[in-house]
Amino acid sequence: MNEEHLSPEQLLDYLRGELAPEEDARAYAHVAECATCRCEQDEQVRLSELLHEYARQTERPMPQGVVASVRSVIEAAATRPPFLLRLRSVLRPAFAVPLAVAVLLLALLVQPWRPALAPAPTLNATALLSDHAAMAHVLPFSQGNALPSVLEHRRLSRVQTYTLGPSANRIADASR
Amino acid sequence: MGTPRKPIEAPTPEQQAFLEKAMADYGASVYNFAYRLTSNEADARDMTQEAFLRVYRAWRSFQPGTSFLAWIYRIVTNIYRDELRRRKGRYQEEIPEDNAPQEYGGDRPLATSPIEEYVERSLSEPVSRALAGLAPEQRQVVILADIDEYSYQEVADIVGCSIGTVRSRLHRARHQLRRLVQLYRQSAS
Ligand SMILES: [Zn+2]
Repeated sequence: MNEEHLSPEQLLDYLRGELAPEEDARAYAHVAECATCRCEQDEQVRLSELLHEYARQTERPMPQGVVASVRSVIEAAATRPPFLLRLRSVLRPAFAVPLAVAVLLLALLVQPWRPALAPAPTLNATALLSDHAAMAHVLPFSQGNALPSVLEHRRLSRVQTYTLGPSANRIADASR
Repeated sequence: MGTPRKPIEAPTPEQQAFLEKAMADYGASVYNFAYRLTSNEADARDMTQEAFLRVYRAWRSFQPGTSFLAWIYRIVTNIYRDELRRRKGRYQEEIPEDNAPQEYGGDRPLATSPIEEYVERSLSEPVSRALAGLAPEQRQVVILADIDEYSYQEVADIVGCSIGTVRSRLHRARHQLRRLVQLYRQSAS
C-alpha cells in the first residue's frame, strides 16, 4: 500500500464519477489493490442499490385526480371575467329588463314616495254623544228645537266612521 | 398547498399545450419525487398539483434546450421548502447535518394509505423509514443524487445551494441512511 486510504467522501465522489481525471485514475488504482477501500466501496454500492430498489418498488403513476384538478383550477380562473366585463354583462338587455321590472314592482309595493301612514284620528263617539245630549238639555238645538231624528242618525254614523282607525284608511287606499 | 400568488389568466393554446405535455410526460416523475420527499400521498398530490399550476404560470421562464425535469424539480423543491417553512413556522437554513431523525413537517397524518402499507410490508420498508428519518434537506439531496442520478452540479442548481453543500449533505445523509437501514432491519427481524 503506497498511499493513504480514500476518505468516504473521496470514495463516493469516485463512485459517482465526480473526480477529476487524474484523481479518478489514482483512486481506481488504489481501490484495485486495497481490500479496506474495496470493502467500503461495496458498502456504498449496496446502499445505492437499496435506494434504487426502493425507488422501483415505490414507483407509481400520478393519481388521475391531479390532472383534473389542475385543469379545473385553470378553467375556473379563465372563465371568471374581470370586474368591468362582469358589470357590463349585468347591463345586457337579458339581465337589464327583468332587473328594471323587478325594481319597479318593488317600488310600487313599498311606495317610498308616500308619507308614512299617520294614525287616523279617533274620536270618542260615546263621550261626544253624551256631551251633546247634556248640552242639548241646556242649549237645545237651534233655539230649543229638538234635533230631527233623521239628522241625529246621520251625525251618529259619521262619528262612528272616525272610530274605525287606520285599518279603514288602508282598506280605502287598497280599493282605490 | 398555498394559494396562487399571481392570478391565473385565460390560457393561450401554446400555454395549454405546454401544460398538457408537461403533465403527460412528467406527471409521474413529479409525483414520485414529491412522494419521496414527503413520504405521504396527500402531500404529494397537493405538491404535484401546485407544481403544475406554477409550471403553467411560469411556462415562459422555461428555457428550451435545458432539462425540463430539472426545471420542474426546482419548482417542487421550492414548494417543499415553502411548505416546510409554513408548517414549522420557522426554518433552519443551515440544518444540523448530524441531526436526529425527523418527520416531514412534524405533522404527518396518522392514517397510512394502502400504498404506504404496501411499502411498509415490502423489502424496501427499512429504506423507506430510513429516508423518512433524514432531515428534509438531506432527503432531497439523496433523492436527486442517488435515485434520480443527478450530478452534484445539477443537484446544486435544483436545490439552490453550492456543490460543496450538496457533497457534504449527500455524504452525511448516506452515512445516516446506512445506520438507520441497519437499525430498522434489526428491529424488523
Ligand atoms: Zn485503501
